Amino acid sequence: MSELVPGESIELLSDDPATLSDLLAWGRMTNNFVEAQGPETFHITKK
Amino acid sequence: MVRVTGNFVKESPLHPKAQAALAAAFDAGWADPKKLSQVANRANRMRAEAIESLAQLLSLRIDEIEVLGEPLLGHYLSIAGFATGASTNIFYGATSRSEIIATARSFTPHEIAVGLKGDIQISPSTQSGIFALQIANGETGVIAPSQQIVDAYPNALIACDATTTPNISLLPNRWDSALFDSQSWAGPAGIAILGIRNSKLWKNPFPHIGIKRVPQSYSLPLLLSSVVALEAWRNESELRQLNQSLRARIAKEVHDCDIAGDLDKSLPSIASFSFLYCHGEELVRALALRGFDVDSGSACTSDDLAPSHVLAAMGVLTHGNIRITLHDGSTQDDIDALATAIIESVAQLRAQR
Repeated sequence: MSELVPGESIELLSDDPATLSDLLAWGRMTNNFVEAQGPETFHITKK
Repeated sequence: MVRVTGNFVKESPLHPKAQAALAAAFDAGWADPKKLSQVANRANRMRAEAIESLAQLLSLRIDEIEVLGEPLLGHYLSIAGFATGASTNIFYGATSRSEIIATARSFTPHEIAVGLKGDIQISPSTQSGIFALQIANGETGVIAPSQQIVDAYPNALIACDATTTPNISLLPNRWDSALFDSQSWAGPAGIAILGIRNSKLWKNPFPHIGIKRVPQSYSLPLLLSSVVALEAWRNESELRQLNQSLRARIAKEVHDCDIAGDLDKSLPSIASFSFLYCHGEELVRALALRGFDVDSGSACTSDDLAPSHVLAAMGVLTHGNIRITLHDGSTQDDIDALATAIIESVAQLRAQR
């Protein structure tokens, strides 16, 4: 994430059932924007 | 008070009086209280005294009290005893115990979301059914606004889950069943008290022959020991200050840490911390090596590798989670040592990644 500029996104693929909940929590704690694009696909955007 | 140094898991040793009572109870109270012999008579008297004491300490009427020898069944009983069919509405917060959620799903479930602080998002409803009301959460300590909930559901029966504290001042002014757990007052496992206030509507939901409201197969010696523990239980409000100092130090000295729920709306004895960039299991082990036993809500530490549904429902991080229970007799020195151990362990684990 440190390599991104604000507004840039990365895509995360994960089948771990805890991913959505924990990724949202991480986003809240680190001030990044997280969005689920499907059951195992997540977009993280640096704010 | 028996203290196990470094014990910060949910369970604690029996109070010495409760332990002594247990031995005496097995000597004198092994007989079936319902039979006619002299020993049975004595057992019956011991039971009657125990029930009287319970009635006083939990503000229940004697005829409201049922004793359960399998506490987790109480979660099903306290709701199903009032459910009239599979279409019965069961309302419950998302941070309810999994036994409550499972019971609700066997009828018509209505899950109510909670916010980041574990606060249940209640809006008034005229619906009928049963509200499974969790008085205080066992993982985070968060206390529900019970009276507010009861007032918002005037047409629903109220089944209280009071298994995490014997503090009856937290109960609402109206309820139909209430479940208490012996372990919440450092009594022995294997005893729960079910208060059935609405006996008119109550129906034993298990297949049964006869008039018993619940299966009555608990251990009398365990009940006697549990009552002694409840009599010795001290309201743990003095733990609140220790809890506050622990939370403050962790919040100050560890970055990227989630603390589940605010202390001023929680039971005084519980604190739950989630640390980013840490595995719950590794942290539990690291602390155990330093002589501190703690619980965890992380997926890696659970039987079914699923993260705590309580933390997930709140939107709190489930990774790197540890849960602390403060027991009667904990000192500031204990807390300082625990805090140092946590701070150092988290730093070490993070440095290794």
